[in-house]
Amino acid sequence: MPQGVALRALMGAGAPADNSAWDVIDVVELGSAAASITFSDLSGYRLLRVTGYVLKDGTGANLLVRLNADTGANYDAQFLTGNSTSVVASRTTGGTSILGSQLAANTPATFEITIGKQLSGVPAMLLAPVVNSPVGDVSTRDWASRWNNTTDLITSLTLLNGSGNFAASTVCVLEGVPDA
Amino acid sequence: MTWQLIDQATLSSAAASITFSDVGGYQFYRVSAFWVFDGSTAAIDLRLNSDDGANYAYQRIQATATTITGGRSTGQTAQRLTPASPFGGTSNSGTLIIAKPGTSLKAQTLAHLGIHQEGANPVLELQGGEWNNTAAALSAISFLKSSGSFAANTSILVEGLST
Repeated sequence: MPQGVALRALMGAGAPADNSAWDVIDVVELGSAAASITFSDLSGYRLLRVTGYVLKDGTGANLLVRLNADTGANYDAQFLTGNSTSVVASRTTGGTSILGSQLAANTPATFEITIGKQLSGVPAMLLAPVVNSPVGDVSTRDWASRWNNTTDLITSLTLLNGSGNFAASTVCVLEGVPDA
Repeated sequence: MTWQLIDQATLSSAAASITFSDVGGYQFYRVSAFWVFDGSTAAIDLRLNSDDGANYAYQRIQATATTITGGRSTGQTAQRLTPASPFGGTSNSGTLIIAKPGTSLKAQTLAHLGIHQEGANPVLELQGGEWNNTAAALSAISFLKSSGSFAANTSILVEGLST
């Protein structure tokens, strides 16, 4: 059969799916540069997910992630990073934020962060694959992180820059699965 | 506002490629796929807007048993999701995020793939890719087999999220 065959001629009909388990809580679409993006009022959701396409301004810097504006040394993270033929595993402990992605000047990064936490007695766990261009060529990484706060529920999530700003056209979508 | 089903397909007969047309209007796309092969060892390629120019770059991290390898390809005519050899198998699964929130912004892809390795154990792959097109909105998503066909029961679902 030739390439490019019309899909609809081959596929069986199926009932439309509805991802109604996830509510879109908030959307940030930058019309102008901003140093950080904060999502607030996150209580009432059992799971959270942030899908983002962030565009860096003219200053290369790290994309950082913080929960509840906590600047204490409460974040641990495990990374798996691919840069050409180099694949490196690394871990950081006692950080004051999570290193979400390395951003070169005027380049984008796309990620999806899934977060579970919303009960007391356990730390929050975050998981994210990322594609970015920290060295001018495309790279990818996977990271898992722990927020060592076993008392508080997550009330806010902030994406911030090590320096400089997110550029206009940055888009981030926060979704959540409501508590039953 | 939430993720919307754009299209889904379950092949009832073999096809060398699968194209989802008219997918425009979204900033993020999520693809869930199970590709069944017709017995030929081949690769699965991702192509956007049927663009076969040298406009794709991607980074792979691949794990098989205790071995982890990496590789980057640039200036490609498609994003090769699964290699033809030695891992081309009879079935593969994958989830992809494709982001192109603006016409003037290059697209980026995140792919998480489980590759059946014929006669051996499965392979895990994580890919990040870019489609260096800053002139067009995303309008079509295609999966192509480098030789042979996708077999019946190949199943793919495409969802979109627009702000």
